[in-house]
Amino acid sequence: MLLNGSDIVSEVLLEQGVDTIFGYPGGGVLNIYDSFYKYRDRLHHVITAHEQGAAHAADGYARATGKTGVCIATSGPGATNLVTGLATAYMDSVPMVAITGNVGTGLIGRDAFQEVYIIGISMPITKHNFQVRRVEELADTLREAFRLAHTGRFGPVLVDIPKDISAAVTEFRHQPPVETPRTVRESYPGLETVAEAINGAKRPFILYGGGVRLSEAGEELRELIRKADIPASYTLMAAGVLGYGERNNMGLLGMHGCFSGNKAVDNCDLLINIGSRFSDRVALNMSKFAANAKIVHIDIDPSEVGKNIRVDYSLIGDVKDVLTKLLPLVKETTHPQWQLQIDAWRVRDYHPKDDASVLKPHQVIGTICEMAGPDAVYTTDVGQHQMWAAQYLHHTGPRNFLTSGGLGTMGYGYGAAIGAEFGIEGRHPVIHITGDGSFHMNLNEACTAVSYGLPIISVIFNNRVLGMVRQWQTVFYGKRYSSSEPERKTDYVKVIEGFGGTGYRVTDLNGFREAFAKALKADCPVWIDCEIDREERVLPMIPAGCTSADTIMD
Amino acid sequence: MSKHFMVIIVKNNAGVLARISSLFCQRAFNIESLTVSTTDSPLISRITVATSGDDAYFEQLRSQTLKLSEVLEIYPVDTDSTVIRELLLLKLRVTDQNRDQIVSIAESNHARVLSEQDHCLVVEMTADPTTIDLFIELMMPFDFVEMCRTGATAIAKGATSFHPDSISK
Repeated sequence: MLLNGSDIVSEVLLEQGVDTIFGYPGGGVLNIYDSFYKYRDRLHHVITAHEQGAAHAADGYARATGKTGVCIATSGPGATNLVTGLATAYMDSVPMVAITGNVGTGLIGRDAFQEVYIIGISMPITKHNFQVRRVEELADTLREAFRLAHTGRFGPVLVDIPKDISAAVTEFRHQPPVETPRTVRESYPGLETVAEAINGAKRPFILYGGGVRLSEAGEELRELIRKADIPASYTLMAAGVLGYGERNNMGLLGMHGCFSGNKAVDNCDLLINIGSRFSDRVALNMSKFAANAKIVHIDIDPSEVGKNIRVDYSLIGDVKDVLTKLLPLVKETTHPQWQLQIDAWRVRDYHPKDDASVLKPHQVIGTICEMAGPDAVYTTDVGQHQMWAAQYLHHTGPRNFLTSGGLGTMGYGYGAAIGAEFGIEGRHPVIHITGDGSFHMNLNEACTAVSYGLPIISVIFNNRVLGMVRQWQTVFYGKRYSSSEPERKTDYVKVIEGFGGTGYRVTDLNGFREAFAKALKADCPVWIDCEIDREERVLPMIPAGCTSADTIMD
Repeated sequence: MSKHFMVIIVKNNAGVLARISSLFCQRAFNIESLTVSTTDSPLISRITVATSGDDAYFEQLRSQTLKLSEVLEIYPVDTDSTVIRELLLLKLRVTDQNRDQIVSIAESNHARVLSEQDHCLVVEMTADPTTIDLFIELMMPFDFVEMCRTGATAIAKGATSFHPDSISK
């Protein structure tokens, strides 16, 4: 059938199984929005306050559902406002397709109104990007974008559509949705050697990361841990892949990870990295990291092998498939002595002290967990609250903790919560844990939550300072608090009421409990402003470039 | 640290060179020289890059470059089994006294004089980059007006070829 480019966009989105798009209209995409009007009974377009919110919403939708998230923005500033969202998704391997409008092909390169070279700008923060120059190529380009985003190591793909292309007419034929099957191989070179290394290890340790979550390999990981009796810690991207309190699941690793896990890394004789990229927040000192161990690296992306840490063995492939092939070669065993040593370190793990008269971060998070139930979806911004959430939430599911790990994007959480709400369709509470610093970056998206009746609960850890910046200034910069105490006077209750939601301000745990109970029943966004002492720090902490021997515990 | 020539086989799409150079800049891979041109297949372009680093560096460069979806193949050039060539154009101001000497040095080094005008010679040399380095050194005492070189391009000896059909990706 003959269709214009805009209807082709709608048709291909439907063809790929997309029903929700996050975006913001503007001149460059008016044709496409006209098509969205026509397709409005089948394609649900969510308008955010800002394109960055739309990008984070598409990202949150993807992380919460496992599907590819879609966002759209107009040319120029619309496109540049997506940039932080694209970079966030790229660093955390989130499958996303971003569509941008552009000026007509005849105006490209002439500094036309709202023209920007988004292909050049987004090159290093997307898996790939396309500018469609002929309407005949539009449908297949969009299909290829969906294929790339959800193949191999997932990531964002951008498709830039000049305005005349979205108006031009061509023949369109339906196709089945692109299939992105996981890569399955007969066997992997070095598989036996790795199995032997695991079977021969006296003090094995597993570090698992986002790759396990993305390949949905939680079961296989659990079986490896059980069969070979290997203690394991996770990176920020893998919180919830194994349940809280599961045997051998020791908690977060790295800069603010648990003491016992970091100690185990430094003392193990075999470190098995499954789907993590040895980031500098985990391998804090790349030359001393797991210095006494042989290192195995299992990853889908060959460029991650040897990028940060020299490894002894590598298995390149889809984590689920690699583990499936590895498991039969691994012997059932136990490591009682090593476990005894781990237990001894666990006794020394950091435990903050309770105090009911003020709001202690760990108690607030404990209360949230207890009241919100195991299926709640959490999003965070970036800073102290993010680390407290990572440390103290009882993570229960691989898609329940959405946080910007790689890029560390303050302002990620609210957009992500909007995306998650649409993804899980209100089945479970969506809780946005934030700090007063991060929240000021994108709290404008509360208007979106109000428009769509999304009962997102924002718990604001309000210490009236930029807590993580200030913590570093306390420890490393002689308490010279440069620009970290902005003295804001924001009245969060009034602000959210102004947007059309509900707010509470609490100063102790009972007050928080009451407010949170009301929030769980609300049908609009709720903000809970929690007064936190500005001297609260995230502990333990290993300074950048150090090892577990340098852990700061108080 | 060692210097190697890498051949990158890419789809002949608009902007593909920008993607390669953006990646090299992003990852702090150095470029000592780079040549790019189309091939006998209109769909394929071929890039030759000279760059220096250790083994880990080349492994990163290879695996990161291969992740670009328009890159079909990347491989190092083994100098023994490959012909590597670069073109030099050198413009020299000559005097009546040294003109013949310069022409004779050029010719004895298999360089050619392409033009002689306004007391200036344009000398061309096609050779491997090291030979060109040596030739430039040799000519240093004379009066350089302008100089340019293309960067190296390379092709394997024997029957080996990198055509779309033989590409693994």
